[in-house]
Amino acid sequence: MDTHKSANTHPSIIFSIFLLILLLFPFCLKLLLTEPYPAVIFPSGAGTVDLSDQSYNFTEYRVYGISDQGPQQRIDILKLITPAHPQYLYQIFGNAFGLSADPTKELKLRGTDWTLLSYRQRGATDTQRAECKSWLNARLEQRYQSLILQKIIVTGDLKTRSRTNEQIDDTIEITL
Amino acid sequence: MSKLTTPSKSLCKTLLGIHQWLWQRVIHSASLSDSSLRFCRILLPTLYLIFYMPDFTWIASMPDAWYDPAPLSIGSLFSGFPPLIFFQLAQSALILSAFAIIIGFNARRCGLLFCFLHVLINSFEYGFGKIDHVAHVFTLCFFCLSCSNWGAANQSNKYNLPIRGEVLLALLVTFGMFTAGFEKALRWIDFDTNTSGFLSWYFGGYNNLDRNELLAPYLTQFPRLGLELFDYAAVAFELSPFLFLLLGKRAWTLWVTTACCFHAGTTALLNISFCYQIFGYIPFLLPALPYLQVTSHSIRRKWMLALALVAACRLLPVWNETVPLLPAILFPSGLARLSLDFCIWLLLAAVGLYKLNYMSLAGKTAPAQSNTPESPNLPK
Repeated sequence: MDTHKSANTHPSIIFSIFLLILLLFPFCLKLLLTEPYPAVIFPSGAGTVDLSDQSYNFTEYRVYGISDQGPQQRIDILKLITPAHPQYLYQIFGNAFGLSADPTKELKLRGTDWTLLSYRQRGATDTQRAECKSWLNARLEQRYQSLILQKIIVTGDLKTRSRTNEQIDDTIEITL
Repeated sequence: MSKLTTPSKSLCKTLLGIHQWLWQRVIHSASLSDSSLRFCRILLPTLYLIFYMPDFTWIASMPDAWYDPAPLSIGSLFSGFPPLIFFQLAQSALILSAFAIIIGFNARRCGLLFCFLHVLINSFEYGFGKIDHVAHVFTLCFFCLSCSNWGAANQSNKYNLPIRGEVLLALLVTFGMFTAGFEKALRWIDFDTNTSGFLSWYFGGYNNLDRNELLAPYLTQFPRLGLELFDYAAVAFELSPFLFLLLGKRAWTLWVTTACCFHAGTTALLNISFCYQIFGYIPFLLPALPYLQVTSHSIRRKWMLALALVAACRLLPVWNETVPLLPAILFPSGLARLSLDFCIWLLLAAVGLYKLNYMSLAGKTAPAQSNTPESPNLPK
């Protein structure tokens, strides 16, 4: 038999307490403040969607390009951020493609207005902003003067899956 | 005085007894034979190299203005994405360490190096602000099994943890699942068919992230009660593994098999495959067979050559971006990749069922051996 010799012995209580703290402390941080990394935490995604009246809502993310010639054109946002993986879309969009005006962020105790830490996020420097704009321009083949980022609340019918309403939630314009 | 201390002593004794009992149950349920671990040492890094190794070199091409890491992460210590050469060197080291683990060259050290590099690289990938969790399980798996030196016969006890690596892995998977299920339990168990937690994963992904393959287009046609039951099933599944771990080896195998079915379901319905979770499950699904050692030098040489070729196929695109990535050749479309992940989950579920059947047959022939903590191996 080639099993480990200690297969039937159990570790000390000190080890158990150490392991418990090592696992629970980051999880408590996630629950109360913000998720740390690295930590043994799996994705929760505990949100819910309202299905009353046979309808549902979700947020759609759109980018439009504005040029001198012609009307605004919708841009395929996943192609725009490639090679970044699609799952990072929400964060990149939320950060206004790194060109947001106010990089100040606050860490609040979850479920309260009690600010534990107000910190200034690194914030892109002027050089990094310029680099980002030229990156976007190269990706869009210099076709647009500015981009409009829109968050739309879409309402749909649960049975037919057709869209019944669209409402603009937030609009940001960035000049390229 | 003695009257005051006696109850405390008895409480301490009871707690210590519970502590000992819990560990005995967990160790009994999750312990694997050294031959299984040695088989994992070959199988898991091979799977990683062929199918699951992500490419990281693309991160260097992202604008630094997008770098917005979580405040409590390693990434927050840096001010931007590292240059391409960092990712090229780190990814090459990952490939070489995975190859070294397979051939058994300093498997423990290479395994720990592999984990360190993965955590470091992932810290930069999560620099967009989202901690993506995808790589957590194979990092945990490689860390735990490296701590046990992948079941090497001549392992020194000097660096061993107080518990075996696979037992630690089972506990980490269990705890990870608990972290996923805890918040869901607070919000999804609402006995209200007018809300759905399961669909909250669906609409955004379907409409924004192109997760519209396999059965995804049909999900909204499910009856409301069914959708509500999905919520409860997900919570029960994610909160229950520790209970199954305590119940014994068969129950633990049953939970892991159920997990494979659950992930097959999320792959088909939500197009979220959680494919890296297989690294947390495979060690517990492998039947306790006497894995034969290949003694023929000719077969070993051919096997090594094939693996070296695979490693080279992974190394080339790291240094030359015109060479296509191996997964891009194997799975040219997202649908192909999803279909593979779906099939792998079903295959693993089938392996789990086979093992459960094997265990119940073995239990009938030798119940005393298969169910006691003194014999963590199945009878061969």
